[in-house]
Amino acid sequence: MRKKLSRILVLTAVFLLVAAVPFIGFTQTTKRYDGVTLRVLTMQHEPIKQSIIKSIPRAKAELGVEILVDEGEYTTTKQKTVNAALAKTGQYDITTMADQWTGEFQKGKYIVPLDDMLAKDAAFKNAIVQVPLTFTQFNGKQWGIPFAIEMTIRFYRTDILQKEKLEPPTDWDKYWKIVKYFHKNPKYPDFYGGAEMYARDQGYLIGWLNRYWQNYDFKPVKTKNGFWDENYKNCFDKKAFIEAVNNAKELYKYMPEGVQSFSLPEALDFFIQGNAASVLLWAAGMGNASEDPSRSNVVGKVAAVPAPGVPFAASWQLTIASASKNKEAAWAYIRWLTTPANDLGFWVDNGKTPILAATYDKPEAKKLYYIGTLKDTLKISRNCGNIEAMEDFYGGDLFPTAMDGVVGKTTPEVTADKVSKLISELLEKSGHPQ
Amino acid sequence: MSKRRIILIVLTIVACVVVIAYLFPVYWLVSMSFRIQKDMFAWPPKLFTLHLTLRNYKGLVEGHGLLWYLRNSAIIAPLSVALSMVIGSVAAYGLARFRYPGKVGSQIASWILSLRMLPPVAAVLPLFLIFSRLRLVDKFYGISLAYTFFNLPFIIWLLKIYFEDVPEEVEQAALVDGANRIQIFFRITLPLSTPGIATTFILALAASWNEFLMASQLATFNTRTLPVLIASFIWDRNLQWGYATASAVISALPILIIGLFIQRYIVKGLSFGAVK
Amino acid sequence: MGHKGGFHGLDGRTISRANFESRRRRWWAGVSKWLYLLPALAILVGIVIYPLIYMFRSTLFQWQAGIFGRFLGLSLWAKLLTGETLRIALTNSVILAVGTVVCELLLGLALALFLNETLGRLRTVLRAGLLIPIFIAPVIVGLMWRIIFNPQYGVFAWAIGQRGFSPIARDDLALYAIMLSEIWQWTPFVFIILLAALQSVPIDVLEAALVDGASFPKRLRHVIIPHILPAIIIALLLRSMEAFKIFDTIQVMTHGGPGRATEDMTYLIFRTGIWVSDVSTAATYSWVLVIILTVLASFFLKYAYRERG
Repeated sequence: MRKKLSRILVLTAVFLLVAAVPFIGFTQTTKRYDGVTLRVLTMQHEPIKQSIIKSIPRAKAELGVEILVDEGEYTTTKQKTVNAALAKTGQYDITTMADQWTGEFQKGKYIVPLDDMLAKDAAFKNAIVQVPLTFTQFNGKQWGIPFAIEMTIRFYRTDILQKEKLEPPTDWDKYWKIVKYFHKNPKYPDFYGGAEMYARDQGYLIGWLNRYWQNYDFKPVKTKNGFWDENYKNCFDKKAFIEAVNNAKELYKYMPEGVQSFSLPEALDFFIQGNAASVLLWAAGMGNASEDPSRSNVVGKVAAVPAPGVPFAASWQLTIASASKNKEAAWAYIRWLTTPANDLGFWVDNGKTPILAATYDKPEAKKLYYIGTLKDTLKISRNCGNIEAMEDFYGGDLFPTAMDGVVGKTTPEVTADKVSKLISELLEKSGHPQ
Repeated sequence: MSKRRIILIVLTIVACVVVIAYLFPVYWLVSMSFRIQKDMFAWPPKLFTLHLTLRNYKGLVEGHGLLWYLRNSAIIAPLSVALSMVIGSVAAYGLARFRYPGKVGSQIASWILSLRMLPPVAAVLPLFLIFSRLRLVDKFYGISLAYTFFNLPFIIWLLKIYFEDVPEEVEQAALVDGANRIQIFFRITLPLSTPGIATTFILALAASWNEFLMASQLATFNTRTLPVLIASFIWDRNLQWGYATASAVISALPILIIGLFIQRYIVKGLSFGAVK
Repeated sequence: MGHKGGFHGLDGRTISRANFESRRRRWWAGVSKWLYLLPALAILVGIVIYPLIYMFRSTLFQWQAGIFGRFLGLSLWAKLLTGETLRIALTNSVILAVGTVVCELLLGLALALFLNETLGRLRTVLRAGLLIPIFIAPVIVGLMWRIIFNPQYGVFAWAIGQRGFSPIARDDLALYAIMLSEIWQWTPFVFIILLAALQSVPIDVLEAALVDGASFPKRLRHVIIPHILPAIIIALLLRSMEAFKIFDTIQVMTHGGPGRATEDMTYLIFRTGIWVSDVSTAATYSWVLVIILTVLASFFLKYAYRERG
């Protein structure tokens, strides 16, 4: 009798244990942070902003965290991060950071390195697209997790190029062919081969960079961006730059009238209104504009290739503030935002570029026609790198000086000298004597 | 019809044309806010189209929390104006009526004037640090205090001019009769300078309602105002012309309506040097 | 308290009640006039002091891109004061300030003179319409003009029959495009001030001049302008206060470009201080601006107040 009872007891215990395993496994994989409030500063870039805001209820349901969102446009986001960091009140737990701010933010200790947390999560680290991950690696540490990737893409009109038997602008020669073909072509009045962004904010940045990187010989020098090497010594190649400037200068003559006032919105509208055979844009700036019938005259007639030369890639990354009091919960939230399901969902619903490599190959991702192009572009793209004074690189004198060369105000040789000097100045400002 | 009358009519017609032409940009903005983006950038430009839509406004309310931003602006602007009008009118009265030892009075006045000429951009970070230390960040009264700081110089200067225009003899007579300053201020000075007060009020209201810089720094989670929303649509990567123009129209309406209501007072208020 | 006839004054002597009352009143009057200024000064001084000190300190000790504290002494001042960036920005600021104020005055006067002659009731409507630009946020005004000046789709290019032409695409014209948008917004302000002043010019003097056969320019110069001079001075004062703070329109229309063509002092301070986070440089530029504006303000006041009488 006793033997039978004990056998029943053992069997019941085993049964209960086996039945409980799935539940134990489930609660172990998602730890909840009920009662924790995370304060997030998001940039007002629609894909990023909508992804975070629209997923607030789900975050509450699945993680238990309360998400409060503050937002700002580009410079406001930067200034707010600086404000909050200096005031040391823990105003934000997570901020979206442009990768070029890494040098500055880590120097001032505004954000914490994420290496420890990543070390416990090797699978995640390997699942991320590796290229943007390197954009926030600085001084041997990882400072951010990519959240949205920007890259320069050339969009073109499939119908017109097919009709005129022109090849897509995959390299500079083909692009030149297109641009020259439509220049003052009587069959196509008011139509141009390309439209670039020239205005202060965007264009002068890209106008010569793609070509400069194409010209630059990266083999002998240990540099990632063609401006300074791994010891932060100036390795600017004046000859490569001069050729790039001359190329841009020549191209300028074939651009639409008034293009010097074209920032991204004007260039985009010029293309989707149907006045250009191609346009060079940040992929995120296009979004799904060309397929929106209320905005575009060219629905269904657009395809994309990586920018000719070497495309430029940058990113918005998620960082954890030093003053945050909920770092563990913040990391959990970041991991939640970057699960495969959310990564795909944010791309399909909001147009936020995926950051997990696997997402690029999923069939649902093909919803937007240039997902394949994004993947190809990332492989061959470059980034301008990082130093403490990196934002001075973008917002200081360097690009207007280069632009002077492009529009012919200074000769390319003089421009090259000036730019080289400015790069040295930047390096010294960041604490690297030349 | 006399020659004079013909000239008058011609002049009137020309004046109408001039004003209508002058207001063209406003018409253009409003028209854009009711169009789809394709129609905003047609060539030749569609000066007039019946193909109108409310999608921009709908999108603002449904997807971008327009009403929330409106509410915040509606709290902060009047609050800051009330605060700065009270403090400012008292200071203006002092500067207008009293003689301060030495040249202190005019020196203070000129210092206040130079404060007004200084762009706030310069002091964003330290201002934030002060407000953070005083726990005024992201609070309605905090932002109102910041606006007061920026509007005070302008308000004090305008009101000073208006108070100086109120004839001093009337006040002196009342003083002799035994009234004290407070009674004089409320019963004599204020009523006689009502147009001036109205003008200062609407200008201060417009300034606070449209202020962007300090709002963008001090308003974080709970108090973001309309200009912050408008600015979010004007950033290059995100420039959505439809939302930008629609939110601009909505933002301009309240001030315009109030301004048109008290228009009579404003015009009187801006008649400096006119015969009383 | 006191006994009939007198109090003990502070010096021990007896003074009359009436005397005491008047002394107390005078003492209170002396003190109370400061109380009027107290709240305003408390806010203004309290809030402005720390930024001024902070900004001054930043010019001497490096504050840039997360890097703090290295002593710079006067090296930053020397470098920036002789740099080309400051020269360009200062020139642009001055051109903008002088250009906008002068044009607003001239255009406002012209509009006022013109509308002064129109029929009364219509004048009210026209005047109300012209009030509109004043109340629109400068960001929005900038947006309006950016749309109008679009070289490929804008109404301006269409109106002059040259598609592709846009002042904001040319570095020699962009500054004037900014000036235009500012003038457009603020001329009505000057216009209203001057219109009201015009309507108070005494008719008999005007009639006398007409009888004397004076032509319009002569009437303008000798009769009208002297009468409205106080209003002109005030309009000048009010607009000059704002003249150096042009920022929003530049931000929206040109971002300071093409190149540096539309970068004024305010935009420069924004770019170096907020965008690039080089607070030391921005603080130095700010102090240059503060000094210039303070000098201008006191100079202006001396002259303006003398004219007003």
